Amino acid sequence: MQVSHITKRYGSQTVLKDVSFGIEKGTITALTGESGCGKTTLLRIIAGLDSPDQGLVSLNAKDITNWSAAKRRMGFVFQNLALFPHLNIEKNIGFGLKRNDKSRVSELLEMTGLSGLENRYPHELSGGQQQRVALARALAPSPQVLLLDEPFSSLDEIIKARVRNEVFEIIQSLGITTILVTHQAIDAFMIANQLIILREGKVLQKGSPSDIYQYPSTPYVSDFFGASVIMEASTHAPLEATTPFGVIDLASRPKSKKFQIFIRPENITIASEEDHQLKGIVKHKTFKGPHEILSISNANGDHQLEFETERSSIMIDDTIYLKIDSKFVQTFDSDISNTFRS
Amino acid sequence: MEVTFSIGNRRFWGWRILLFAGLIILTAPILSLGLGVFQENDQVLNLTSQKLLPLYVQNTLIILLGTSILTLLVGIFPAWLVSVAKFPFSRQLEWLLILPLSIPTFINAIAYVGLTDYAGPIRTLLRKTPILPDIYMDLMNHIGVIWVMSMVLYPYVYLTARTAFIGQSANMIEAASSLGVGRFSTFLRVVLPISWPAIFSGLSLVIMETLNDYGTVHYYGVPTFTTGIFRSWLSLGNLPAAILLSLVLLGFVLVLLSIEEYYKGRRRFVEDRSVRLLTKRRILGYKKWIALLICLVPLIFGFIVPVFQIIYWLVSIFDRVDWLSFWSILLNTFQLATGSCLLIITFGLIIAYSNRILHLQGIAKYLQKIALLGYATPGAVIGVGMILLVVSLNPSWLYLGISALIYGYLVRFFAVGYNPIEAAFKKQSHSLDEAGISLGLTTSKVLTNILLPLIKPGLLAAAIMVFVDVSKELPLTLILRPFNFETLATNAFQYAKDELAAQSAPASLLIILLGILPAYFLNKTMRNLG
Repeated sequence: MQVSHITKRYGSQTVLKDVSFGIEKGTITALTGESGCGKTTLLRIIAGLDSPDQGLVSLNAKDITNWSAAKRRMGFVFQNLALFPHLNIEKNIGFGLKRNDKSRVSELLEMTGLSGLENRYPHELSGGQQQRVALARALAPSPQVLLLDEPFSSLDEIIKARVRNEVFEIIQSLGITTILVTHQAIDAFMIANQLIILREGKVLQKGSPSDIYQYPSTPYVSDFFGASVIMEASTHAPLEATTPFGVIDLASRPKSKKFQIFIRPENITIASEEDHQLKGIVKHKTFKGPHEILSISNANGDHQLEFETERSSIMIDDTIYLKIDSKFVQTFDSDISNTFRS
Repeated sequence: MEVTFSIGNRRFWGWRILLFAGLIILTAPILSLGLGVFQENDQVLNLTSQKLLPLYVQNTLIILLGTSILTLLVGIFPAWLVSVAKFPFSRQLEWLLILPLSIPTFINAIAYVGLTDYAGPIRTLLRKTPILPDIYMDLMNHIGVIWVMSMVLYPYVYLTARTAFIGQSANMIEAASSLGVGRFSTFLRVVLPISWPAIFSGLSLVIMETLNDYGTVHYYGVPTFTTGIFRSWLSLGNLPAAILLSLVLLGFVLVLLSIEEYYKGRRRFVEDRSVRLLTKRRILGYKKWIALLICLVPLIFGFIVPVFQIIYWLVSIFDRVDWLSFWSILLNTFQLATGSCLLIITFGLIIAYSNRILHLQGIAKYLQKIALLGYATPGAVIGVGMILLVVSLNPSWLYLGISALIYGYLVRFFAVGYNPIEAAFKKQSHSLDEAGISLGLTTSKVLTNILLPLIKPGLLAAAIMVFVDVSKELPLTLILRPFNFETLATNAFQYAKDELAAQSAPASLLIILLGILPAYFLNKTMRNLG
């Protein structure tokens, strides 16, 4: 599937600006970003529930931009599920089938673990079961593409993890081309082959989940996927970054003289005085169960640094020594940071 | 959820007694009808039931079925169009389509006879056009009754359907479309079944009005239960037969109400949590004119045509109207309407406020349900209940002017006034009462000084609805009025019966003008619900 130069406006507001990407057959793509970034609109355009002002959607090299949703027949799982309340589970699942195909319905009931519930009505099921009905209904007409719009947002935190595993297992076992819209990084990490991050209607970064986690292109992306440590830095020697806390090695040469460096906290290790790169004084410790947050200031006391680490015996006002593997250090140009940092 | 509310351990005996007395007064006619079962005269009963009962049943069922089908057709499609589409005049049609509600069925029946008779505009036009033949049009049959009733009753279906359609989740329709199902099929398989419980509540109002109608069926000569009740009591003086027919009719209403109750239960499951509502799509090309036409048909035949006919009559007889007697009829009507209005609002306030501070249980709860049943009960049935009650208490009371008539209106229209008052009370926080009490006010002072000023809009709505309903009520008035006492409704009906239909125009037109007020309120309430 190919999405090319999609632009969508609502009144004077531009929701999507020139969005393009491709999706390979049988892969799972996660569209993610904070609410209002245009991800749901994009999914609806792909499904044919909304039409773009500019751009094309094509499937198997065929332009389907002007096809109605009914003609595209992509399976769609709605955020609120949109199960038909007046039909029982069997009829809900069979709704999109041309003939009353009982064997297909029972196949899906079995696949989604709903056998025995076919005569119940949606309001008689638990949230997790409703979720599976929505999935089974979308899959029944054997669509070429499955689209999921924030499929877990209506579930309680407690059952969310379990339902997510069940749903992902089914999707992976079918090998169906899937696009998942979510604002939760964990959904994207668990299942996606490809991750697309949208911000204000534009594609900010795309790639595999692990690449994006480790090498975010902007501080915005790094923040979106978890805690990060960001420091001002400048360079005096190639492959070296001078920070207020000391000098660290870089894997590649930074583009400008002044820049920012980004590190995931779990890649910072506490080191010894003999073998360290960074040094500071512990100012504050916050207890967080198996972990703690250390607040560190540099020798001059004019820069602060905060990160989460495993609990240690270090005391307040102790000097702390840190080490970072150069392959985990990412640099951002300062002007990008100013534009994108939220 | 019901919020129960108590102030210390006080029992409010004063309010309890008032409430109980009020409920007894409101339910006495219907209860005495129920007790009437035990005092029937077998012989008379057999005679009536064997000969006429099957005919009444048959006619009533044919008319109910026909009116239901026609009002559903004429109500649902325009409601769907104005809810989901934009086409020429769609915004105006949204409220224009409610106007036929302002015309009582019997007035529409009179107007249609005028339209289609020999001297009426249709046949005059046919005769004057050389090529066209004169067609004899007979409305005095089942089809005529069904047509004139449906054309003014469909707005009940239209209103409830529109409210259901507007509240429909867009996702539900999109889900059907993503599953490859076309638009019309989605309407039949998803939209209609989900909206059906709401639409049924509109349809049940249509059925109640149809059962209540006496003017149309009597004028068109199609005997039904209602005409049977009138004939038994007013012409034959056969009270047991009237009671029997009333009880059958009441039974029918109860069945209807329990179906509605069942649907109300189902409605909770069908309602959707989603906030994404349908957005209106513009209809393009020739299809937009078809949409306009579908919406114009009911408006033309339910409002424009009959109103045109009545205005035409008014103009033609304007010099011959006896304005003095019209003035006295107007005074009679306003006297009745004002009296009933005050009485119903007083009862409504007492009962709604008692409900607010007391937790009703047992007998009082059932009595209240029966009291609210009045509006669903045909006027003729309440009339018979009233007669039965008065006869067993003090027969001379029947001839004491209009007091029995006002009592009858109180029973029949209590729910019309009570519901807006109760709704207005529910909007006021109970902390207001508690603040008043804590500052040393009595409960009656809390009612008059704190709550009354706050619920004024609700009271106004209640007053207007009751006033108009009383002004146009025909069957109950015919049964309980003093001899030669005329109201706008009986006056219009009497002229029509005497083959002087044109003379009914002033009263008819005034009733229609009054009727526009509650139509406006109903539209507003429905819009807020949507």
